Formats: sequence, structure tokens, C-alpha cells
Amino acid sequence: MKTVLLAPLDPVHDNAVKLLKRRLDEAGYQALTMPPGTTVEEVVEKALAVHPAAILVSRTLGYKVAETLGQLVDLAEASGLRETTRLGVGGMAITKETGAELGFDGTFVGALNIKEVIAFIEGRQGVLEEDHSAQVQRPKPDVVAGHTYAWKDRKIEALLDTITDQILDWTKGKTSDGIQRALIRTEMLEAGVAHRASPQSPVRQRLLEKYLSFCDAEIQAAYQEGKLPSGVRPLDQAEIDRLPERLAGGHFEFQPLRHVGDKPLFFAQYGTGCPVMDVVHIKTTEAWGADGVLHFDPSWGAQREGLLQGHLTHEHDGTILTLENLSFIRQHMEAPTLWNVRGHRGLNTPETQVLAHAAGADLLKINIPYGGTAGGTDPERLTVDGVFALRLAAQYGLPFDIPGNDELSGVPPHKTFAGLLIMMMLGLKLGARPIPKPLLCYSPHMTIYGHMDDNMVDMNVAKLAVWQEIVDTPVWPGEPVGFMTHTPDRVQSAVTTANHAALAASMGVSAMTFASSDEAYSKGPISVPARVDTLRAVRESLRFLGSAHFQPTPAAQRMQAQLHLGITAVLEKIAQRGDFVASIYEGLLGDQEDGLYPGRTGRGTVRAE
Amino acid sequence: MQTISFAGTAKNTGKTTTALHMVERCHARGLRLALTSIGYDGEIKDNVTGLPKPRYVLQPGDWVATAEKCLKTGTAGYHIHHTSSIYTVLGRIVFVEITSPGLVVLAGPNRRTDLEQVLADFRRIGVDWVLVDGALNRLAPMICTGGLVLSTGAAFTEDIPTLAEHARALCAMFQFPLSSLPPTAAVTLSLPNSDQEIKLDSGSLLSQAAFQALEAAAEAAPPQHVRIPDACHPACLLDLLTRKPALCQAQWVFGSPLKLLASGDPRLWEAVWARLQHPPQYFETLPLRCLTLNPFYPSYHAATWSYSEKFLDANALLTAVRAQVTAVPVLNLRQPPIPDLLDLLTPSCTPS
Ligand code: B12
Repeated sequence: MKTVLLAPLDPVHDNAVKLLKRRLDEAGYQALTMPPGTTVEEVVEKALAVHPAAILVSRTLGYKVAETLGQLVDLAEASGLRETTRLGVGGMAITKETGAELGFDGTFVGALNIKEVIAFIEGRQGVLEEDHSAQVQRPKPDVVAGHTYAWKDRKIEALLDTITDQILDWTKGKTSDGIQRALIRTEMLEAGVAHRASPQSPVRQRLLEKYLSFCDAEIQAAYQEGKLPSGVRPLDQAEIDRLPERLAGGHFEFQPLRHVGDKPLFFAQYGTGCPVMDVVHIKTTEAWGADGVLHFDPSWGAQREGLLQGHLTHEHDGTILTLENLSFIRQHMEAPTLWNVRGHRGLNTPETQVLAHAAGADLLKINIPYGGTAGGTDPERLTVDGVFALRLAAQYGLPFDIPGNDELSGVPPHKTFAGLLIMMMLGLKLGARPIPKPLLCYSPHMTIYGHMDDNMVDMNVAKLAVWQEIVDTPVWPGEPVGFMTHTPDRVQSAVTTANHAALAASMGVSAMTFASSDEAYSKGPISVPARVDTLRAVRESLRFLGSAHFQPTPAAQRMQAQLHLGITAVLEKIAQRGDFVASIYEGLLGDQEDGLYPGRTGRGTVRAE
Repeated sequence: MQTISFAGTAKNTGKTTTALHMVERCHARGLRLALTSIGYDGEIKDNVTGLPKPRYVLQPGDWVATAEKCLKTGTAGYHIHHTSSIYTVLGRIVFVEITSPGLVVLAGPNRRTDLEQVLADFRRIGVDWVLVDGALNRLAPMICTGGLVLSTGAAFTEDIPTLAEHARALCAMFQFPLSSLPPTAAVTLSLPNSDQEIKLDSGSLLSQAAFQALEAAAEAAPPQHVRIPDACHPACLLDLLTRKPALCQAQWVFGSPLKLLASGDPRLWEAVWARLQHPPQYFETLPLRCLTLNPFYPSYHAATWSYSEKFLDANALLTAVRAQVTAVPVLNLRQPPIPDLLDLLTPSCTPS
């Protein structure tokens, strides 16, 4: 058993020393402590008597630090201790530079990291810093692990069975330009000619021509004449080349946001418009402990037939979906970081899944009812494309998540959730693994009808708990949690996100997405410090919560029961209607009174195969 | 290869300014120069006073041994020659050759054994001079260098008589000879007219208990020699010698002047020397080559919470210290005619 001598070289502050003693005793060391006010001579004298492997001193008060600690180092050298005993220092008054100036072998800055201390005592100093393999060994987390998808509500299961059979039957023999492009992209990838920089072979020429025949004029012009949509320009090679320099010098050691357990996983969104800036945001997100990121593209991308190519940057919000952009971004992520590429609402839904998969995505995102309404794609087109996209998810073996952001338009949760359940059953039938994403938000429906006037806990608890009654599924509240509770005040914004995160974590969710503290009101790209705000706030609230729990109140239980009834009723109506696409047009999953209108882009573009 | 180390009695006593003077002299003579530090030298401003600090500007062909993380902080271009196995708080120590002029930040080996290894590597590389910058009042690792330059000044104390007395006591520490007795690991008492030796538990005497053990050992017969290879608390020793005057007859042998300075104030040691019948001896020592004086001190203004530069009378300071210190040259490197430190140090700074 190694001996470690602990001393506060401080007149009073010794709490850190006592804490260190407990942690080192637990780790199997004999940790001897000296009282506050101990002199340098006494420390050295004691060390000469007990021959410790290390002397660790703590200093809190900021004055006379150099004189006191420097004297210890010199006296330790003069008494021959330094050849056998390592000298470490930590505490509020210490910086790396002071540690170096004073000649300590180890300096511990910031909160106690016991792994680092043990490595130091064991003479493995530097190993932690240089051992990148520890990072590589961190496994990629699995959002869906631990769930069987067994249905607990048999009635809902039967209704979903009927509804999805009808969908699958209806989509048979139908295709669209979007599906054709996805097929051509796949062919290009398989032939190794999908990249802009691929050699100009006859194969690429032929496939590209075919591809462009299924695209809008604006996309054709970009390929054929190099004319990019307004606000878009190619990334400068120098901008790409300078990135490693920007990222250099950082020291990455993953510290999850979780205080206990290995779920929920935390996701943040990015999409500044510029892939280089995105990488900076992603690196920050990783460094502050998030498990994954979601790629957001410009909203207009969903309304064009066809996707662009090359490294492109965009003046406005959302980063353009190209194979080059996606590959570039993935290449700079840590390997275990989970990556989801949004592509569920537009005319390029199937093709987005193809490119995302090729670039290394871990999760896909598909929701027909949401994508087929509220300024989105025509429901008929998105149903055909969506089913094709689900088949891709199954083929790739990637889980797909189903955002429930219809609520933002004013749809009550039971209608949104009915849509999520239909998507779940559809995915399961096609062999994919779905993850529903109920939105924890102060939605227009709640505001208008006053369901959250008293508190924001009961309704959100009901919205999470209801899933446990219906099916054994992973649940991933998003997107982001606390939506519409945020204000331009960054502190307020971070706190409300953190509150929602703690609530969701306590309800046992598998993952969640949160915003930066300026996301709702950034008036332009979100800023890196605002991103850190939320990550810090969430970490803090999880520390506060630990494995303690929120308990549903009777009010929450009433809301949950109502929600459950509502979901069943909606599904009954849709099953009765016998036509899913018509149900969306007719507002069964959200009508005009709820603020929901069917999408119009791509109307009349479904055709027979 | 010659090596010289620089140390100060406090922050802002001109240690780095003195080292920079040597850098400049070596450049002027076209000598191959290498630098390292046992501490950290890189701040643009002093941490406490906010006043600007002198910094190292090196030239192509100069060599540096510094911690990895310091390389990026400087502005000089460099080529990494090799990376040593020595770890510091700021990463491994690397040996670099400067390729374009600029600032360098130094954080080097902080233990004697590591400094020895760095000097050995520089010898292999083949440089003419190695300058070892000290850290605050830390001295102990410098014992393996070929000589020492000490800096003192108004930043240590603004009271000239106190400053001069301290300087006298400090310089006196380096004037005692080496012992012909074999070194020991533990504190050892040799009894007169016999081969008998009494050894204590450790090589240092730091606590009351340790001094009581020494006293008990000396009880039977007053020792002829007392050997203390490591640290020793001067106030306790003085107390013991006052209570047991018989011990003043013995020949006292200490590890090195640097170990004694690490143990306590030189003025206390001066009081110890005054009691001893024979001048003390060392197992190891190094020559003190020169003392530099700096009249500068930072003056605090409570109303504005800031510091400004103030100076003692340079002539008065020099005269007072020279009156007390006669064994080594006492210089003010800023006062014309500017002395040439390199001339003064050449040729004999070869490490032992
Ligand atoms: C508790 C406390 C006290 C207690 C101390 C009791 C005790 N037995 O320790 C009492 C009330 C006695 C006290 C007194 C004083 N205190 Co007080 N005190 C604090 C307080 C509130 C918490 C410190 C603490 O215990 N933290 C808990 C420990 C576990 O954490 P930590 O010390 O930060 O250490 C962590 C890391 O730094 C690291 N660590 C620390 N050391 C080491 C060492 C190693 C080797 C390693 C690996 C890691 C490591 O691990 C720890 C866990 O992460 C702080 C303010 C604050 N919130 O921090 C002020 C504070 C430290 N005190 C302060 C002051 C000024 C004083 C007084 C001087 C006030 C006065 N004017 O009288 C007096 C001291 C009088 C004197 N005799 O000199 C100031 C210091 C300011 C400065 N920069 O110098 C502080 C910051 C408050 C303030 N903002 O003014 N204090």
C-alpha cells in the first residue's frame, strides 16, 4: 500500500485535503493528513519519516502562494526527498504556470479529478494526456438499446396494424423523382463516382445526366453552369486548410453530462450555414459533454428537387446537404459522437438518407405526418418518399427518430403522438428501429387552453409517462426540450432547458435534444458561448438530481389518462377512414383549427413505377 | 561547455535582466548559447503588479530546453531536435534550436537530477554556454551548474542597510571550503579519538525532535565532526549551540550552501557561523561568481489599486552593498559604464 502525505499549506482551508483523503483511502492508498497551519518544515520532516510516494499540498488563499510553496519545493530538494517523492499541488490559488514556476512535479487545476491524481502518484503522469486510445475505446452509445418494442396497449397495436397495412398497400407501385434520385445516388456511390472530385468518367457522366433529369432547373444550373442559389458560395480551400490550426492545442477528454448512469444521451443541433463553423460548434459540444449532434439544413433545401454538390457555405441558417459537406463534418467528429442528419420534411427525404448514411450517420430522421403539414411537403408525396426512406433505414440498420414538432403549430399532443405511433409501427413493419420524439414544450395549444398555467411539470410528465403504457420503446424528447419557454435572456434560457432536461432524465428517457441559450432569439447563427451555457446548465441540473426522481402528481396522472384516450380516439378515426393520406388532408392528425395545413410542395408528383 | 545559473532574492530583483545581459554578450561574441529554466518565465506582465516583465528574445542558432506547451506560446521559430523523457507540469521537456528570432517562454527541469540530464544533453549537442534561469528564491537544483550569479535589490527590501546585511550573509555562505570527510546519507556524529560514529535516522534536521535526537547523541562525549548532508533548520541549530556550547568545538560539515539557503535565512546562518569555532565545510559547493543589484521596486498606490515603478538611489545602494560584500564583484548592470558579465565569468564556469 502506497503512502501519500496530504497537507494544506494554508492557515485554515483544509476541506479539500479531507476530501482527497477519503478518495485516496477508497482507492487503496494510505493517505496521511496534516492539519491546516502546518509549516513547510513540518511537512518535509513528516515526509522524511513516512517516505510517501507523493506529497500533495492544497492552497486556497491567494497571497504569499509563491513564497510558501516555493520554499516547500526547495526544502524537499535540499532534504533529498525529490528523488523518491513526487510533489503535487492543487487548490483554488493554483494555476499550471504557478505550478511550473514553483517546480512541482504535478499541478491540479480546477475541480478534483481523482483519476489524474492517481496517475500522478503512480508515476503515469502525462499518460492521461497522451493516451488517446482511452478516447478511442469509448464505445459508441446505442439510443435504442434496452427496449423490445413489445406493445402493451393491444387496442392501439391493432389500430396501428390496420392503418399501416393500408399505407404499405397504398404505396405499392408508386414512385417519385425523389426516390429515383436516391436510387441514382446509391448507384453513384457504389460505382465510386458520387463525389464532386471523382474523375470525369463516362459512368459518372451518364449517372449525373440521369440524376439531373430528375432535378429542378435551379439545381441543374448549379451542376451545369456553376450558378449557385443566392447566398451560397463554395468554401475557400484556405478556410478548410486552416481548420486543423483552429482546433489545435485543445485537449479533449470526454466528460459526459450525466452524473449517474449511461442514459439519457444528449444531443445538440448545429447548422450555422458554414461547415467549418459547424465543426467548431461540434467540437465545443463534444468538449462540453454532449453525446451527439443533429445536422440542420436550410429550410429552402426541402423545397427543391435535387441536392447540390461540393463544399458549400450558406449565408443564412442551415448547412447545405451535400456529400462533401457531410463527409467533411463527420471527419472532424470524435468517433463515438452520434450523428443524425435531418431530412424528414422535404422533397429530398430519401436522397438525404442515402448521403447521410454514406457520410457515416448513426441515425436518420423521418416523420410523414409532420413533414406532410405546416409548410412541408405534400402528404401524398411524402408518404411515398417516407416509406421508401424507412426501407433505407431498415436496410442500413440505422435507427430513425420521429420528431413531434407538429405541436409547435398548435396541434394537441394526442394528435401528434398518434402520428408518431403510426410512424413507429410503419418502421417496425419494414424492419427499422423507431424512436418517437414527444416534444417537451410550452406549445400554442397549452398556452391557449391554459394546461400549463400552474406548472410545466405535470403536462410534460404525462407526455413522457403515456409512452410507458403503450409500448416498450426508447423515448427521445426534443427538439429541443423546453421549446417556447426560452426568452432572449441567456440565463433564463439555460435554466429552463436544464429544468426540462432534469425532468426528462428523471422520467427515464433514452435521449434528448437541447438548444443553445440563444437559439430561439439569436437573430442569426447561434454563438458558441450560448451553446456552452446550456451544456453547463444541464450538467449542473443532472448533478443536482442524481438518481432521485420526480413523482407524477394526481394532476399529471389525469392528464396522462386523457392523453392516452385521445391518442386511441385519433387512431380509431384514421383506421375507420381507411386512408392515411386522406386522413392528413382532412386534418385527422391536426386540422386547420389546430393551426395545421397540409403541405403543398411536390403536389401531384407521385407516379406509377 | 560552461554553465551559469541565475537566482534572485525575491521577484523583481533583476534575475532575468542579468540573464538577458549574458544572452546579449554571448550573441555579440558569436558564442553558441543554450537556455533553460528551473521555473517558468513567460508572463508579459507580472502576475501581482501588472508591470511589464523582461522577456527572452533569442536568435537563430540559439538552443532552448523547455516544456512542450511553452513552445507554442513564444514567437520565435524553432526546430525540435529531440524530446527528453523529463515531464513537467507543462509537458515534456524538448530541445529546440531557434530558427527565426523571437520571444521564447521557458519552463524547464525543476529537480537537480533532471537539470543534470538537460546539461548532459546540451553537452552532447555542443554549445558554448548554458544559462539556467532560476525561479523566485528557489536555488537547490542549481548545485550541478558551474557557477551562480545572484541578484538582489530594492524589491527584496527598500531598506538599504537591511539589504546590504542580507547580501553579506548570503555571499558569505559560498566562501566556505569543501570537506575532506566522506559524505554520509544520515546525520552523523564522529567521536574524538575513536572510529565510533553515531548515525541519526535521516539526513536532515528540521524538527525539535530531530534536534533533541542530535543532542542526546552528543550527550556522552562532544563530537569531533558533525555531518548534516541535507536540510537543517538554522534557528533550531542556533538554539542548540547556545544551550550546548561544547558543540561549537566540533567541525560542522553541511551538504551544500544551497541546501542551507533552502533551509533558512542566511542571516540566521551568519549567526550560526559566528558561534562555531571552525568555519563550516561542505560536501558540495559551487562558486558564487557575482552579485547584481537592482534599485527598482514596485510601489503600490492604494487609491488607484495599481503599482508603479520606483527606484532607490543607485549609487547609495551600490556603495552600501560593496561595503558589506567584498569576496565577489557587486555590479549594477544598468549603470554606466556597463560592466561585461561574460568577461567576468570567462573562463571558469565548467560544471563539476
Ligand atoms: C469553507 C471556507 C472557509 C472555512 C474553512 C474551513 C476549513 N476547515 O477548510 C473558514 C470559515 C474557516 C474560512 C476562513 C477564511 N476564509 Co474561506 N472559504 C471557504 C469557502 C466558503 C469554501 C472552501 C472549501 O472548503 N471548498 C470545498 C473544497 C472541497 O473545495 P476547494 O477547496 O475548492 O478544492 C477543490 C479543488 O480546488 C481541488 N483541490 C483543492 N486542493 C487540492 C489539492 C490537490 C493536490 C488536488 C489534487 C486537488 C485539490 O479539489 C477540491 C474539490 O474539487 C471559500 C469560498 C468558496 N466557495 O470556495 C472561502 C474562501 C476560500 N475563503 C476566503 C477567505 C479570504 C477566508 C478568510 C481569510 C476570511 C477572513 N478575512 O477572515 C478566512 C481565513 C482566516 C485565516 N486564518 O487566514 C476566500 C479566499 C480568497 C483568496 N483568493 O484568497 C474565499 C475564496 C472566499 C471569498 N471569495 O472571499 N473559509
